[in-house]
Amino acid sequence: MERLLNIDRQWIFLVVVVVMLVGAIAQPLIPMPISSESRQLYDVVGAVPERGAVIVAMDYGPASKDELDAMSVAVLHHAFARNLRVLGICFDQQGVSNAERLIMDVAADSNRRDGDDFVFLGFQSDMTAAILGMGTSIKDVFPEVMVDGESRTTAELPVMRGLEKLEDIALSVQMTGSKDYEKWINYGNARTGLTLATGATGAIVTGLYPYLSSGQVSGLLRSTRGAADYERLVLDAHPGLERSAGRKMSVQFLAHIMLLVFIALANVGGLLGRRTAAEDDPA
Amino acid sequence: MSTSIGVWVAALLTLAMFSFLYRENPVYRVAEHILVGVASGYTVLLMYYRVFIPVVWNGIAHPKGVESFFWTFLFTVLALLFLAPFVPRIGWLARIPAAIAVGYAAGQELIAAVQARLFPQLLDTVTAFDGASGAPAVIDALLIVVGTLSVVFYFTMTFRRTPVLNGVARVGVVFLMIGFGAVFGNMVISRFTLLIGRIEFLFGDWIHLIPS
Repeated sequence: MERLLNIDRQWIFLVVVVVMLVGAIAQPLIPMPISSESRQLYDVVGAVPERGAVIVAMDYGPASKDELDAMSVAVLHHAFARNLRVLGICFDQQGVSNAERLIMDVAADSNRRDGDDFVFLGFQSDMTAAILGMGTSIKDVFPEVMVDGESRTTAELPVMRGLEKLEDIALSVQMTGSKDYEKWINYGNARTGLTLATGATGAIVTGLYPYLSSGQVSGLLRSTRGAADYERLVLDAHPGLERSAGRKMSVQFLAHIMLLVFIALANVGGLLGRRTAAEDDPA
Repeated sequence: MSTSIGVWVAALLTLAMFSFLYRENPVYRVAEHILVGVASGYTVLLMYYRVFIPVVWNGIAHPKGVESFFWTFLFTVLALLFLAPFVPRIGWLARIPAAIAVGYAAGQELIAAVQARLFPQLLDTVTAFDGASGAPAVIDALLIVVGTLSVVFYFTMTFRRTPVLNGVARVGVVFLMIGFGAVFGNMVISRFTLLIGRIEFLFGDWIHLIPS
């Protein structure tokens, strides 16, 4: 047992990789109930009237991509399938090109036209000032955008018809891996009454539950589990979405089991070690 | 195996990063420096093309009007004052934009703290039992009220604690520990997801061992 407790950490890393590799290849299907907060978000997107406007803010960089891309794709797919107008934004400087690629790819798969059905508004360096500014005029904060590779005046785009400020937006869904979600709550929801929903990484999601409870956030996707839930909900109603988070959940299930085994082994080893030490030194 | 140069570069750099799990080594350090360099370079270019050119340069060289020119010019000058410490004699000028930035941020944050956090969260706590029907909802509401009060008591340092208040504060510690445990658990799972992503990339996109 002592040998087990003093095992080189490299062996543990190797076991982790092998378990995950097996999970990724075998793809065991783990049936899981859909969490209430994911269903809330699905319902809130489902409640937006046809041609209503939704902001999809992909405020994350490469470090959170593996957790949040699946959420962004599922939400975009759902919005396009419901014929909603989508305004893409990214307030994370390192995530701009990824956010733009995601919205373009999903729009192309859903046969949506740039400038008519959606637009990628792009990046602004000061998130607080930008959200506050959007409270009075979206077009002033993002005066020009790229549409089909050409610079166009935002105000002239068909997708922006009737959309002056945040009050004209039916819903904003933000995907984030940082505490920036508070800026949308502080300056979007509290100031203008904008309905908010959030997809968050596991690292920050705990801090969002009080806002979900108070109704300031109307739906929440919790890390890969939330993304997998949302994928299932969207796939049931609107086929054509590729399962990405669902696949990760299969691997994560095996990782959970492995973690539990490691914790159990370490605790049993610790207890046995303590008992042996007490027997060797009764004083 | 992938024939894309980009995938190969990304895969080799990922492996270089993972080599740190064995021990600190020059390959890891090279990859780390590349990461920092690329991230900095990308950020500088992004700021140049998406902030400096459209906001600062166009705002001064091709202004929409006198007012627009005035504000852009004023804030550009204020921003430049941040560089004043490089000339020690006028270094104190940097305090002007710093004071404005701090004042602006504090003013915004104060309103936000009251409007978006203090009042709504307080309201949610005092109305926790409102409309709570059924045992799970009542237990949920009870946990919110007991948890909030006991944690607040734990952080109350302004008066001497009686044994009863100490007991309440100890309950607060239990709530805090459960909260930290939840944060830690979510953090671990979050990191596992990142690892799964990298494994899918290495064994899927790179060597095509994982079926897509």
